[in-house]
Amino acid sequence: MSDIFNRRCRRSPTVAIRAYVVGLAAVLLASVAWHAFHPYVIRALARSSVGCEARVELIAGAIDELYPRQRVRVLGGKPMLRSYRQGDRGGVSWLMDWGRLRPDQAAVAPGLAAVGDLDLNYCGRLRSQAMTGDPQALPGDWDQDGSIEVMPFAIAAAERGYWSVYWAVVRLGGKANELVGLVAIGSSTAGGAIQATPGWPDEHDDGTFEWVFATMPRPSADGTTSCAEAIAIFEWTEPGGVLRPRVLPDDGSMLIWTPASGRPYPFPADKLVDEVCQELLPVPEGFGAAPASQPASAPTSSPAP
Amino acid sequence: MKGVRIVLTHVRDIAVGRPTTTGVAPIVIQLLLILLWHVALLIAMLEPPTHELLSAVELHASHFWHAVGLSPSFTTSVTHAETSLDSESTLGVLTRVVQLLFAAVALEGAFAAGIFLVLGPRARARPSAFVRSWWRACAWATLFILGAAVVISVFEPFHPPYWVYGLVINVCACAYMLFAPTFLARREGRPRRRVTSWRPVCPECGYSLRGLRADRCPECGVAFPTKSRVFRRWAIQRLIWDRTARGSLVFAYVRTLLAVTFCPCRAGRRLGMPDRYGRACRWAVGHVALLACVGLAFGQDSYFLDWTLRQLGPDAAAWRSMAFRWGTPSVGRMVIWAGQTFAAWLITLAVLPLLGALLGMAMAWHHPAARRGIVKWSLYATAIQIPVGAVWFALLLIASRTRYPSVPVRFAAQMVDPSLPNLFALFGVAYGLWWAMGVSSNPYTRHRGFKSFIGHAIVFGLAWTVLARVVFPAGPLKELL
Repeated sequence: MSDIFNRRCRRSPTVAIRAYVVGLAAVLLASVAWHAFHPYVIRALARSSVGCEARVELIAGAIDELYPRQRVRVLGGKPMLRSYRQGDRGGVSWLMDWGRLRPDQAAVAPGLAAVGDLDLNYCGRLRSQAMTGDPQALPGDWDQDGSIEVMPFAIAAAERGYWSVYWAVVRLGGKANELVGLVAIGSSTAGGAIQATPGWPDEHDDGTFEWVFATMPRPSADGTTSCAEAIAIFEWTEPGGVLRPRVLPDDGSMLIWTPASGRPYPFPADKLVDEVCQELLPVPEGFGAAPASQPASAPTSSPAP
Repeated sequence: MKGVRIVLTHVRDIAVGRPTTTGVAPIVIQLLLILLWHVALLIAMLEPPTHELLSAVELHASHFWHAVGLSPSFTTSVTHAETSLDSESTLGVLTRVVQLLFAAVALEGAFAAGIFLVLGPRARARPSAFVRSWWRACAWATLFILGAAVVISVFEPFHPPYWVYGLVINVCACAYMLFAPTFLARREGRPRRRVTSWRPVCPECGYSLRGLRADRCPECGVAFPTKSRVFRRWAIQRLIWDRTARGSLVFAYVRTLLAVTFCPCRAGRRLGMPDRYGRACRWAVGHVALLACVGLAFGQDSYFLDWTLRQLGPDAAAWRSMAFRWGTPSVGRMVIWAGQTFAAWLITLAVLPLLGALLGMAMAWHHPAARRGIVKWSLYATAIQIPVGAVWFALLLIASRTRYPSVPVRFAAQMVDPSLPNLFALFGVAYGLWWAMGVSSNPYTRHRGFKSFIGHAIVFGLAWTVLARVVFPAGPLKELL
């Protein structure tokens, strides 16, 4: 100890060089190890992070490494990806293609979204006219048949002062997808614009999930926030089956499509979901306007082609 | 070779405005540098008009070449813009701007020279001394402008009234440009202060050791590390946390924290004794763990804190019913995610003292005692993150009160990696600066003072950049922070 306080205390150049070499080698080795294991660490953490809103970029980075041909598109520095987890079910959906505009197409290009499960395994894709490029899907194996279902969103009609939208449930396959549920909602639903929003509720006693449309909670005048109120509920006929309505609003603000055969409607994976929706459930003129001008018959259903 | 070295030395002296430069040539060169500096400032401050001006100049040149027929390609390159831009007026604008610039520089020089003659040092009232001081004032102003840009970027989201910019900045800038040459010239002529008023004292109790030959302190009885009566750089009283008798731990901790925060140079000097590493390690581990908790709470846009508050808040039921739309993470899942984020913060924060310690050990030009002392200071400097975290929290609080969603603190640290979280960038910058201050104050280092501080800060910044970008790039993992 006392030697170190000597003015002449110096380390010999040989020892210093050896220490430098050993130090640099250690750093180099650690760096190589880091670069080698980095992808595995990212994937493991990304798989565990599915459902965490704060880790979108981590999951996007893992998907870019896992599927270099189906990279996540970025808009404004943020990846167009959404992950969802409900218990042991859920998945990831991301936009991988903005689509290409033909001269006769409108300004919004149909985007191609890819969907993965909780382990980030690629499950399938669908093309939809997403308004913001963000796939509005809550992926997951909701009927417990081994396939992933997603819920794309599309504009049905938009007029001055009112509008209507489609919510569909699509079961993903390889080259073909299946439509298992379709609903059109007008802007007058539940007394106003965007308060109606569908979602999968908590697990029921029998272990099945239902498709629920509910009002969004709103803050009231006294400072408290109202709870979400269900306005329509759909249930599965069977695993791998379709969705049937159990509860529906009686004000005619919701149109539904139900296949008469009870079997899902198959369509090519590259076909625009919006087109499928319009073929199966055309929205009548004036749908979604003020309650006085709404069609009287409700609910409306059309047979499957 | 010797001639080249002399020329290079001369050029360096002119560039930094050293008093060794005499004669007409340095005056002319420094005047040109001053003019160029003002032109650069004008271009930097008036970006959009300058672009227009430059495009107008290009357009005018194209007209000229087209007229003389030397460049037929211009006939196709000149677009319809030439019809909308009057070339006569653009030339006029350019001439007017150059005239204004010259007039402003001349006016500034005249006023500054007047002040220099009245208030400056009598013995140095020469043109060369004034021009040299003027040029040095301009060079220092570059640093101040960069600092002002950082300050403005911090406070801009709070929308301060325009008179703050207009009045404070302009008045400060004018006053600086007029008075700085005189101030620098007076400072140049002032005799240098004594480097230190240090006297050897007992490291434990501070008892004076002048003229003492014993190997123990006669006051407290502590044995000295060496019996040698020369090179007694260890004879500096330790910081209270580093002493054997600390008294009240809380009192000792607060005093040490205050010393590290507000007097890092003094703290670095008093923590220069290369011993008691166990205590230093415990200090560092405690602070890193505490800061990792802060990072866990406020990192990732306060995700975990928000989730906890929502679970416990009065609207918890409504929030849960809304959350079913997007999925409700279970408590167990949230604990796993929080654990991952905490570990990420722990590792990331531990990198800073580790990097400081490694750099300290690698600096072969320092005395061995200095290298070991730097390792110790690297551990103690982690305490600076506590006040930094407090400042961050205060800024967040201000931001929430002023209804701004976040505090966009974009410091130079984000040049390391632009997507670094603000909080970590703040920790890194503060740690690097404080580390450099403490290192440049270590009694055993070869060089001490401001230049040493700048050098060590640059070394730390470069090492951090290489580490974060090349050696251990975090990639998407930084999302955990």
